[in-house]
Amino acid sequence: MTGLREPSPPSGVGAVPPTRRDAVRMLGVAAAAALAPPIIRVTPRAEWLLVPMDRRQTNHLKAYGVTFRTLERGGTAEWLLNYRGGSFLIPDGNATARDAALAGVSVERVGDADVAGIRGTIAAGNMDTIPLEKAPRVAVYVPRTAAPWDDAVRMALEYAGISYDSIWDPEVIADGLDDYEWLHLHHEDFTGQYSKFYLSYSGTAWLTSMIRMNQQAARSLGFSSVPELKKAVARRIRDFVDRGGFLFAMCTATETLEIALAAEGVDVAAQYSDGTPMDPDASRKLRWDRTFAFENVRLEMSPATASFSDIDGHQVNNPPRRRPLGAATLFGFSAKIDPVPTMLVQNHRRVVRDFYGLTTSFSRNRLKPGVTILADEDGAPWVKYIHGDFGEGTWTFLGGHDPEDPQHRIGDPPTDLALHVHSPGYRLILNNVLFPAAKKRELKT
Amino acid sequence: MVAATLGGAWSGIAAQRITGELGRAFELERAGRYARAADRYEAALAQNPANLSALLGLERVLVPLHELRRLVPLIDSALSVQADNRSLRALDLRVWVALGEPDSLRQAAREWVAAMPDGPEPWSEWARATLALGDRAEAQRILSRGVERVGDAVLARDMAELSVQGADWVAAARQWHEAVRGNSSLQSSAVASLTRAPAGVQSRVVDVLMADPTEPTGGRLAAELLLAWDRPLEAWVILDRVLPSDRSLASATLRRFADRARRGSGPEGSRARGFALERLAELAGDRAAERARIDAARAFVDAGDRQSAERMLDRIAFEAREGGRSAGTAVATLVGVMAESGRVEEAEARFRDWVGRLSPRDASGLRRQIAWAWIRRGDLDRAEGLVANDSSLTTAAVRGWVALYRGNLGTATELLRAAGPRIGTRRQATERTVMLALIQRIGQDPAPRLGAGLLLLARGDSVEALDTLEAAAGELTVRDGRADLLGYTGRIAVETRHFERADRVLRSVLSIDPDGVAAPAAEYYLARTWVAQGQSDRARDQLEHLILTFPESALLPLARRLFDQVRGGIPQ
Repeated sequence: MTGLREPSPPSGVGAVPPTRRDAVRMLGVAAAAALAPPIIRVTPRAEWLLVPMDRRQTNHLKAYGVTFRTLERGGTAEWLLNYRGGSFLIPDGNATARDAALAGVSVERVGDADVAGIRGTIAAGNMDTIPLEKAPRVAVYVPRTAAPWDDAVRMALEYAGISYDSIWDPEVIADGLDDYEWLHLHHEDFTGQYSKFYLSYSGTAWLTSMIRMNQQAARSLGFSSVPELKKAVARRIRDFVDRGGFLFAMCTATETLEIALAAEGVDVAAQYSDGTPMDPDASRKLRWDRTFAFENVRLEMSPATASFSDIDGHQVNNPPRRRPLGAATLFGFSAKIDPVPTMLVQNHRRVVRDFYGLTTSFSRNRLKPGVTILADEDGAPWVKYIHGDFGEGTWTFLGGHDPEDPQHRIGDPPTDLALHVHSPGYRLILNNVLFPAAKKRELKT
Repeated sequence: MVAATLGGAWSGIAAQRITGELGRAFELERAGRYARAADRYEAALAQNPANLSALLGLERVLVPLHELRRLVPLIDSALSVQADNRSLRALDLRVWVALGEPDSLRQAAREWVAAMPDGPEPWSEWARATLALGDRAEAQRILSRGVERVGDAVLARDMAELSVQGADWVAAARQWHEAVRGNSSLQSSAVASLTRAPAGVQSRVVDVLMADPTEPTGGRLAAELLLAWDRPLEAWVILDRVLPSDRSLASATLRRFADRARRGSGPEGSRARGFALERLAELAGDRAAERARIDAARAFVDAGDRQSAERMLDRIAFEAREGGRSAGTAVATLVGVMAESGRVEEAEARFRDWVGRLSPRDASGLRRQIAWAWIRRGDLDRAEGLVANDSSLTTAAVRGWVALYRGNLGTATELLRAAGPRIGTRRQATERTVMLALIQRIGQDPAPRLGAGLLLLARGDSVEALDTLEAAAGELTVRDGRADLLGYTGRIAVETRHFERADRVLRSVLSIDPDGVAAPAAEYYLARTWVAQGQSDRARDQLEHLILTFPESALLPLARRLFDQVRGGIPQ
């Protein structure tokens, strides 16, 4: 669960400004302190746009984009947690109304009296309102040349119309992460083994190009091998979170980032990627006190098996251990006590169809104590969606590659999100993008 | 005797107990309770140390528990009972791989080789296990030693797979060839493996397989690969040379080739399929031959090779006539091909010759097809004459279009409406609906110039059609549907890629009647014009205007989709 820590010193001359995660964390403090109706800046006689997020919404995914762009224009919004599927309340304005009409997002015009009624409902139930004040600066870790269609987050951002920058190894090594508040990682292999496709896809153009690009990057940045470069990138990413950044990772980036962080000084890469065989005792030498989410992990030793460790419960590329897909159930949190996990699970459905990825799920028995489970499969030894704090920041991991392409195979056609505008899996991704926009609520004394 | 009976009863009880333990172990494993599952598997092994299901289950659950070493003494016990069990030996090797102990792996493999000196399995599994440890060169050496001991053919497949993993496609082709020669059931595996060869080495792979052009195995492999690489005609040329002499084998090969050629794209694939089916027909009996020729004719039609299609169909019709049989499908296909290729008189003559022996459904369909062929020739009288005595709803549509091309809008409306939305294909039904919507807005009847323009369009003369339709619109007032006809003309201009004209015509719609019924479609097609010309910003502005100004328009889903594509929100 989200921990309650000492509040940061008050801002002002000589004070350390609160980090964004502090701000979000304080939401919980405020809520726990008083279950009173939240303080909202209400302009007299103001009219509002309610963006419903229940089954009446005509385009759930673009609704996030409409809200994000409102913030980008300097406007404000409120996230009505657990109210009609996690709706948004935005002061009426021509730009937002026009944007929603263009996007095909349903909005309901409501007056102050209606809003007062909504607030009453929220105050009485397991709901809460979270002010959203500033669009986070979003970065996606990906080579600049990569098309967006093989990365669920980039597809979601492109479809919803949320602006982001692509950054890759050179920028990360040059401390370029400092310019951003939110970072996404998708199917990067931070162990530097090219997703362990080296043997099974040798000779294919895409793999050859990937290898060449990574090797060039390692050389030009002064690293002896690709695995060493990726470990350095992983450390920069950990530092970014430590300083207050928001990290969202999916698929194999989750598992390999953790392995890379735990493997400082340990050779966990196969001979083809760094010229030396993997340390046969690597699993025992890993340092899990340096990672976000997992511990006591056993590495997959075979370079021919496209699997990294026993973190993944489904082992899609390991036929004897491959497990079938089920469905993940989102946890219901107390909105007023735990607003952060509540934000991350806002949805119009509680059950999300599972989907494979190189890392599909996370074994329960490899999770560190204190990790918040956001979604799991009932009775299964794995979980799907997890979250936690690290230093001043937070991380969230979602297993799987593409929520609307459950069996995803290399070479599959890209997913067209216009055909999945109500995708509950994609909503989880977009919850993460808006979550850093949450504003610290003023404490009532 | 008593002892034997008791012994039998005791072993039955023991077997039941093992089954019970295994069942419980499976359930626990499925629930993710690996530690308890491991205990149950071990309990089953206590009853029967060589129980393979228990050993494999234990392997599965001990991996996540990081306790695989527990399996080592149990495998030793099992091997002491069944030293020549291949699954046990393979498990032994896998465990040493998982434990990362190459020396123990080597020792275990050598023991297996000693136990089975003439078998290929120990070498094969040993090489795989070594590869799993990441040492490809050593795996290669092991296989080479195996080849020396047990011969090429049985290990050729393993050698080939290893070469594929090392991207040595030329060696892989040679080794797969060898493997398939030794065991023809490996052909599919060989094709699946070699298909992944990059474009740059594909021709070298074919050269290796065809080193001896008279040797059939390499030829068949090469043909299948060329087919998979979308080079179907080259594939056919090779296959034709190496067909098996055995009739049933040859038929099976041809059928397989034809089926795979269908999956390919483009006319070359269809043509190759046609050739294969034609050859198949020569090998088959009467009925099967007829079916193969019909399929071949269709394939040739798809390939645009009408001459070959007719050759097939003439043969069927001739044989049917000789045998006094009905050849409805063949004749229908033949007449259809003739009509499509513009030989309408011949098609109609052949139709009249056979109509008595065709089913009513086939006859009606052909009548429509020939009528449309006359329309495309511009002979409305003959088209009308052909369907005059057919009062079915399906021909009502044809008569409706003929009336429209004559400019008789009232009659056309009546007949097209009578045809309803369910006659013909979905596309035909949509075209009728669009046309009905348009002519209902036209306040002039008859409208011969409009009819002439639409006929030109049906005949494929889009430039003349657009000129005529624009002129027809010029004869109308705004109240009589001028903007609507111009909007339709603009849409046709976009679809036939006359973008300059589309731009001009669609803008004129918006200046004549900016808020009228035709305006949303004009805006949408204008946006498509700009997208096609690479002017995304203009398209985006136009679509924004359309979406915001006409939020109730039926075109909105299309407009939003195009808007998303233009701004890069979804793949093109």
